[in-house]
Amino acid sequence: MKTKMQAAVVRQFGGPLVLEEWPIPVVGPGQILVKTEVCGVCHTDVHAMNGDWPLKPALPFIPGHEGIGSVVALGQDVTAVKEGDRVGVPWLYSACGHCEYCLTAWETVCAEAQFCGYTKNGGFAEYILADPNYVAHIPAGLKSAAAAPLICAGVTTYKGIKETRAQPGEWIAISGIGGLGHLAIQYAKAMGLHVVAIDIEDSKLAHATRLGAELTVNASHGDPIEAVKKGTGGGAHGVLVTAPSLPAFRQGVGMTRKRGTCVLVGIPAGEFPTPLFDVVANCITIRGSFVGTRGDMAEALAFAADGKVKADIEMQPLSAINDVLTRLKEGDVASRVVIDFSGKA
Amino acid sequence: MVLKELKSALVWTELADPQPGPGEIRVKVTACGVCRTDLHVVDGELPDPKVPIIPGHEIVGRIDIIGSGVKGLRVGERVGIPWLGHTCGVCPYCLSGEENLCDRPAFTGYTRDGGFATAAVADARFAFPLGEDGDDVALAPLLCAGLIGWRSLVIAGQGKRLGLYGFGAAAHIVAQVAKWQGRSVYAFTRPGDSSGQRFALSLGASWAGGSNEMPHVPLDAAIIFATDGDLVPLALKAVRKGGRVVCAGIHMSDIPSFPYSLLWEERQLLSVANLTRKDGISFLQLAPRVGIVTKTTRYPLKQANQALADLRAGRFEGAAVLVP
Repeated sequence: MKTKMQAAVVRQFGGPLVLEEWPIPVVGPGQILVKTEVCGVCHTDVHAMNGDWPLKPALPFIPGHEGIGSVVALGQDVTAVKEGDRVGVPWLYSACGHCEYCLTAWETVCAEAQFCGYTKNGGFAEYILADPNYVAHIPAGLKSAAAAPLICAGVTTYKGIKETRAQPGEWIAISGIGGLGHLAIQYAKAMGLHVVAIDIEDSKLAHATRLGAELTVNASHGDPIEAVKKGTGGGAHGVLVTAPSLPAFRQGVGMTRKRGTCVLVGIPAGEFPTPLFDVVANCITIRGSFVGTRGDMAEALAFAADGKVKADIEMQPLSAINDVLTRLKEGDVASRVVIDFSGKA
Repeated sequence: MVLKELKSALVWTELADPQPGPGEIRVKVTACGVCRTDLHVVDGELPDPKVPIIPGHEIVGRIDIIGSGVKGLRVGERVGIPWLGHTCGVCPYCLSGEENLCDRPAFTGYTRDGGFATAAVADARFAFPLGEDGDDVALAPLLCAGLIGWRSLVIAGQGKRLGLYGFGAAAHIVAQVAKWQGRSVYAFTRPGDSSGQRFALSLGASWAGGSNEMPHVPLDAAIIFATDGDLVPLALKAVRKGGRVVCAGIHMSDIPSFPYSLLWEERQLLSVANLTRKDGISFLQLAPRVGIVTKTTRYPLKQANQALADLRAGRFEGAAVLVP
């Protein structure tokens, strides 16, 4: 049997990924080995390889947290999955299982959580070691390449929409129609919400209309807050800010209806001013939302298996990873890029 | 004390001390409460018990062996081992914070051996550290009567006037918590049980009477701890419009047919099943602040059958606790 695998490795922060041969990991008790079919590329991978965040990963490491593949080996005492199961290894690699957050289905904020492609080696490799209790279970009808962006971008936007508490028939504003936003529109429509899409590019707004948005607002022309308030009769019940842009956050709060909720999922560096009088007097909730729990994951994948949500993807081979990451940094990726390990891309 | 077959007396049996596997702990039992659910297990009223079984799920003990892979507990530490013995962690209920409804659970003293013994083994993740304050015997009833009572009280909602049907181990704890929260407690006992009613009044109940009586004001909510299904229509009659009736027991005799008018006007009838670890942590943190005083009757472990018979006959107030 093969003992080596191809992997794209961060050797030093800020440098390009290095394609190397690594030993295929060996499963320990309670672990599984996944043979990677595909792995999506996310902007978080850029932050990981640059060492942008306070808690830096230990070098060297393999990024990637949208890996999908088949279980090929089971460690001792594994019962949650079996060989041949198709699973995803998401950002939330594992959690402690017994803190107050884990016990109430908020494992996403567990202090002992491990992160795939960050504190644990990820999916930019032919094999991934995973925790069977935290992998995503890919529904039979959903292709692996279609599932890859959903286990990060999909679940993040789906959870964010849930966190707005907007009800079917109400308005949701989705700010930023990129990798996250184009999925958010589809989830929101599938959840029975009316969608107003906000971006600064007409081409993205045209795509939003094709995906079902009832209303679009170009934030670079005029006042987007007034446009949303006018179009929705007083503001959106829920607002989801996916755009990595500080003005979008201020606008998001401004276009929230009285008693509505503005949910933030993008993480641009910096802070934004909060108009206290409006937030207090209009009883507005501003809420952060971070990836999603395993329960959210199962729901998010089920929407896609039902054909209600489909990510725009571009397939690339592992050898092209550095070009892809450079394009991501420069904002030159129209959709979600998925690395194909089958050799077909 | 082993239940060798259903509907028989427990038998004192000498067994080799159980050994903890990976992720488990072993405790030397210092006290184990006796619960109505133990009677349901003995009587064969619950489906698919492990038989033979050592009953008992209100275990207080000290850890004497720690299995491999256990974190956060040490030898000599005092812990409580409750009814919820294990959950799968991956079913839809576990994933949504409702592990009390887990599809593949294990329950102490029902599907895995419990605490009517000198030693017990438990899944370490489901044991609650108890600290050093309080007496072992006094703490034991908190682990089920207290916990399930607490979960029932939370589910009963915020109402100020609270009825408690069946004033046994659970109700005598819930009454103290409810009073501490500023609620008024209305205690319902078996008709004519004047000593039970006096016991309830001594714990601060505003009113005590027979379950066939109606309090002079409508209640906001009622919790039924007794196992008699006839109480359900009576409790629905006692609560106000929009009021809530919570059935806290794991088993109840059939509920008789009743007119829809008793449920109409948005009264709600619901049940409580098992507990989550979150319930346990929050209740055990709250208990010392409330200053709960449990009323207990001690029995030597070998007299477990006597304790069960006395529970069945209602011959003591509060809770029975076995001491090895």
